[in-house]
Amino acid sequence: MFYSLLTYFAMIGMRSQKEKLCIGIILCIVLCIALAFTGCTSSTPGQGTTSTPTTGVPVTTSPAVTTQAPQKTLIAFTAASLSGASNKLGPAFSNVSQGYTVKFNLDGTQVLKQQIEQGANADVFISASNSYTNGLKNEGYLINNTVRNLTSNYIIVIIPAGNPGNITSLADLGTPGKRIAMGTPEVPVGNVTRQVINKLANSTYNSTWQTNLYNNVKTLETTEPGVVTKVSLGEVDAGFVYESSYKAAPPGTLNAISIPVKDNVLQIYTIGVLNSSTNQAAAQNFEDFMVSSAGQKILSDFGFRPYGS
Amino acid sequence: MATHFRVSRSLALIVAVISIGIVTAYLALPILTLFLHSNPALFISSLSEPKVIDALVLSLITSAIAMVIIVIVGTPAAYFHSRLEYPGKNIVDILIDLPLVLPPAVAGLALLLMYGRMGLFGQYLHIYGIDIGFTIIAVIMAQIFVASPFYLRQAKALFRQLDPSYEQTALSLGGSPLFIFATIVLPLTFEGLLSGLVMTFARALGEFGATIMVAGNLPGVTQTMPLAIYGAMEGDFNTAITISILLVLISFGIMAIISVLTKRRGLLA
Repeated sequence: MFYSLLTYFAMIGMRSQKEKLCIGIILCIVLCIALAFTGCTSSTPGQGTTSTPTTGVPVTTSPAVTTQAPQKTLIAFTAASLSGASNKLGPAFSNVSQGYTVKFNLDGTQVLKQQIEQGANADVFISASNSYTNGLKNEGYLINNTVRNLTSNYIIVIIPAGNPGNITSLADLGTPGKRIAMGTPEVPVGNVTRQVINKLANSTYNSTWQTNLYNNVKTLETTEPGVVTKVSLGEVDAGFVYESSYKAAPPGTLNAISIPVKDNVLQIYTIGVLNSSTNQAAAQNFEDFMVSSAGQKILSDFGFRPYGS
Repeated sequence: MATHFRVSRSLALIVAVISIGIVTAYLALPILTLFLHSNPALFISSLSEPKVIDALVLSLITSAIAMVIIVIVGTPAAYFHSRLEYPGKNIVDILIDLPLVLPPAVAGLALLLMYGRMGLFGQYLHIYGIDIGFTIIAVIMAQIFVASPFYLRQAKALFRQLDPSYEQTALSLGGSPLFIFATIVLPLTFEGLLSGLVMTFARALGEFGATIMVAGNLPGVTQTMPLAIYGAMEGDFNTAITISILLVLISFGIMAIISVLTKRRGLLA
């Protein structure tokens, strides 16, 4: 960097040692001041207003700079497994609300939690995992009495059309050479998947089956739809996903092997309003809509189970 | 006149200091913040985590292999490309540059649809029991795809600038083409090729988008350092910072080597 600086001055004919030194000192001062500035802001961790999300947050419309009427758009940080349903939920809410629209930021719940902790701007948090919801509750990001159960889901094994891995039972998943996709341990679907495999190994299969199954895992996806895609493309022989993804898939694209209820885990989704929301009343309206029969009908159409089941 | 000159000179000085200061601060401060978020003890402790070591080793090995393949195939390709005129040469030029501007996610999707198990080409490989998707081979292929322009562009330009009369003279004196390439072309372009190569390595090391699409994300198998950062962001923040710092140090080191190689100057000059 100093090289280019000096080239510039060599070019315009300043070559004195003194001047070089002078520029160097000025630059250092500028750098130090700037550094001190970042030092100050970075020493206030948590929900400081100056911190920005470190991952690529798709939401770029912070209310202060948005060109649309700022109070009319809600931002819902939403578990990625609701991707399909969100396409219907958004417009349906707009119809019943007084001109409000919802923007969904869809990603793994673990990513959403991280983004909220890094100061991302959101009104509603829809989580696929109680532990992440409780985490944010304990850290004070959620208005605790707004947190409610929203919907629920079981784990299912999906298989691409044509069944390239010739998998006809859960036992086949433990046959060496099969290719399996699942979520990372952090993403809620991956977390439940591991619980389910553990229960299956204890109840019906054995530890060899379990070990072989994990050895067959070819990719760990950070979102539930990521697993669905890898299976739909036929790149893996099977994947552990939510039941809703199988039910909502176009007919003929996926086959499934269900997991007995006694070995399955019912994943409860929750919804809550964020403390930092500048639009808490509207956010509460959106939450009410989501748990209303209209919202539940859409979720049910996309294969989700009622939250009470 | 003298006063005028002095005024414009000091104005230039002010603009220079401010603009270069902004550029420097904008680029350097976020990087410095990474270091502020960690400390040596934390860094060392997460450095010894298997996840970090696996990712580091995998990244270095795959990037090195990608680099070697790019040199072996890319050097003759760039040489003949710059020496020959052939139909469609302009299109080849564009293709060589394309990965520089193409989002890596597009490259990854394209590779998956080509070499994946159900892919255009991959389905035939699959018949013979060869699966590329979600293996270390896919990691290397993704790296080659996105990193090759850094070497090819450099090599192309170097060979084009080289006066062909050297080679013609040597050829007329009875030297074999390979001998001429090794004793005349290579020594004259070596420094430039090396710097292109190092850039290629650095780009391969940082590859993320194409890799996660075509190679997946499996620790110890296909999870390179950038993927490990992405994964760690969701759970263990310190690990993410540690790997990031490692990548900054490696990248900075690589750029410093290039700077010394190509400019033959000290870093602070």
